[in-house]
Amino acid sequence: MTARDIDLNLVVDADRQVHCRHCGEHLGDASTEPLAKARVHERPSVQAGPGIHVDPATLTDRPIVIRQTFCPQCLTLLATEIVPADEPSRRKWSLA
Amino acid sequence: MPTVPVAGSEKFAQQAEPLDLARTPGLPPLHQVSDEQVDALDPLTYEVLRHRLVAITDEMGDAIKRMSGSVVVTDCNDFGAGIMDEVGETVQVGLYNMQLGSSLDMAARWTLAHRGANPGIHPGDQFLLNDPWVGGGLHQNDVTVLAPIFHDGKLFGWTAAVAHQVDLGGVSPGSWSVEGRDVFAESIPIPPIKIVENGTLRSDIEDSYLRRSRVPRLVGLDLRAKIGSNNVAITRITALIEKYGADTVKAVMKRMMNDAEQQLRSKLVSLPDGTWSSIAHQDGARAGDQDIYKIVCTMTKAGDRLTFDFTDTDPQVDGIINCTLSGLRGGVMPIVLTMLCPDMTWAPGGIWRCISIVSEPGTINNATFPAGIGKASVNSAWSTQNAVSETVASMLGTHPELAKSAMSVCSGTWDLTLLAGLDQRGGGFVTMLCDAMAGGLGAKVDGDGVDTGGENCIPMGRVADVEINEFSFPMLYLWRREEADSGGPGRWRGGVGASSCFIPHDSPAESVHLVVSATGKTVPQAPGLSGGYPAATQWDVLVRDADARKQLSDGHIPASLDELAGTVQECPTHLETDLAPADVYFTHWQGGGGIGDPLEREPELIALDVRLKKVSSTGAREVYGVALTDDQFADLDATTALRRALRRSRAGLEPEPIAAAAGGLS
Repeated sequence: MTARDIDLNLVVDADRQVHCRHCGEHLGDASTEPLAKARVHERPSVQAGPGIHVDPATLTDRPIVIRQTFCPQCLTLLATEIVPADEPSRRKWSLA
Repeated sequence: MPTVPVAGSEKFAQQAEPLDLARTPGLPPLHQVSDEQVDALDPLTYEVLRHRLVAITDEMGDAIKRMSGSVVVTDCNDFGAGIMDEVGETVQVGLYNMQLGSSLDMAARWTLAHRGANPGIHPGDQFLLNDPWVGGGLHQNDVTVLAPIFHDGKLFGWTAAVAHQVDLGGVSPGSWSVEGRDVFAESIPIPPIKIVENGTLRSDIEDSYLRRSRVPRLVGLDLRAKIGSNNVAITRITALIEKYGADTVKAVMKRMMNDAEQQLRSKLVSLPDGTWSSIAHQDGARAGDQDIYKIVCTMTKAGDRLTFDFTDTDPQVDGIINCTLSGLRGGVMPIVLTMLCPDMTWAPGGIWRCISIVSEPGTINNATFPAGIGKASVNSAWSTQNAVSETVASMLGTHPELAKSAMSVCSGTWDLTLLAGLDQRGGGFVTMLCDAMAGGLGAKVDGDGVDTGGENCIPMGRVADVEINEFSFPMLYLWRREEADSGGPGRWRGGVGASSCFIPHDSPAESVHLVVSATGKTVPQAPGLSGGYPAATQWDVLVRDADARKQLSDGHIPASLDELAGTVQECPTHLETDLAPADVYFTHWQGGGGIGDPLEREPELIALDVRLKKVSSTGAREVYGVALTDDQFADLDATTALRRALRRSRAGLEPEPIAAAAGGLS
């Protein structure tokens, strides 16, 4: 496999290892768990900024969170999702 | 009463398999060509006829627009048109609503299989349907008219015109029955019926069709628009046949599909094999429901094929948000066309050959009868599209050139505002306000999303002028404008969405009926990529007993909700109510998702965003970490400090020790 960029933040090397494009930190294996070493942090979605117009607690009983994944070294934001807190992240990828 | 299966309904369910000619009795003679005839086409003839067929679908669209009287069609382009071969494979779809062009093949195949023997398919016939289990549109409001094209006694192909009809009956005006639990609260799905026989519109069938509508004259006009559109296509294709010969025209049609297939396969081979997964949420299946439902999509790219696997998607629900397989396909094809096939002929019949779908009947985006599907198009079909969009864009992001075709999710869904009652001329009216057509497009890997750029499933979508809406319907706008912070933050910002705010105006009735139905209020539906944030949540507000009229009479146009006295009512996902003369309605739809870390966005760009009201100063500071001067330019030193702090706090880390921060550690 040749090295290739995965997105604006990630690159995969010839050994299928995923690194941060900004600081080079090793994050995981592209075939199994690309972001195994990434840092994940959740907080209530109302803390996601002015784009959250209404507190979701007024409309649903399920807590809603902003779940973000960071490079553990340079803390670049690698992934963001706003989801029910009781659901695991379904946003994944792997290369064959 | 719980929704229970209906014996006999399985006749109308299909899984989009190609027609098995040997097992389909009653078929008319079919005009077919061999592979050798397709291969023997000379390039010049092929290109001339290919472009002619593309032009014919454009002309079909023009015909619909000129004949329709519905603002939804004439000004907003919520319709589709397509050309199919003799077995229903789609050769070409127009640039209008591509969701509506995604399952024309299913409709034609079902018609061949079930109408060939009785009542028969003959020259001059046209068939009407709005049964999403059969195919065609995505919900009952999407009414398809299919027309067979005959030449020398053989079925040469089909044309189809589909358009959103503003009302076809059901409990609620507009057929958006927000309190419905199953299809029986909605307008009745009609499987293919022969509406035109030997060139004559059948009045008995037309009466039966229009009798259920609250606006039969308008729907009747749209019916004629679609029949006329098909007539235009038949005339043009017949002229091509007479000039070039039936075999040549058909060979071109087959080759268009073959070329699309080969071009897509070639493009897929250039991308890495892998798997990308995503999820799309919808909050509230019907009025009063507070649950959240998910569509899970796992896309696998292997060699020259794509598989979209929707395993783990939620079961169908009691409500109006389910979609049938037509809706699911309508969520897949527009994304494949716009992101993977922007440089090739849009021939879904060839493109589908590269795609497999894994989906369990009985799930929210492959619902079985009698699930409620009245809002399928902008709920589970649209959410399917969002999930598919994420996976395809992520895959494209791995390719240095093809990444430029990728976008984050566009305009999470449609913010439905449905008005009904008596218009200013004293006549009954129903309309779907199409302002939400101006959704924000998703960010790209090398630039911001297009502000109020539209919907990626309707490339030709438009919003009606404010004046057209005010002329047509009893309403008066306070504003329609782009909204700050509605685009998903990111290194590249998602395109902003917009809002409209209006009052009922000049209706002779005491009130104007309002149906609101818009998911995305708890979970935003246009996610970002590569760390980019989702677009803003949907937001709808009623202000009861407001003083807008008083302010207008005083010469002041209110420019924000804060300027309105009255009782503010945040609208739930689904609501049916009345607008009294003193009420104000505000609807704020979604933008596009962002791409990349917002802290990577150039501070000067954020300052410009703030000056242009694309981003608020609050958003600039809290999400982008940009400090502004009093005159709204970037304060770079303060921004550096703010971003250093935000980089840690958003990750749940304590602030840096002061000494270390002063030393410039990043």
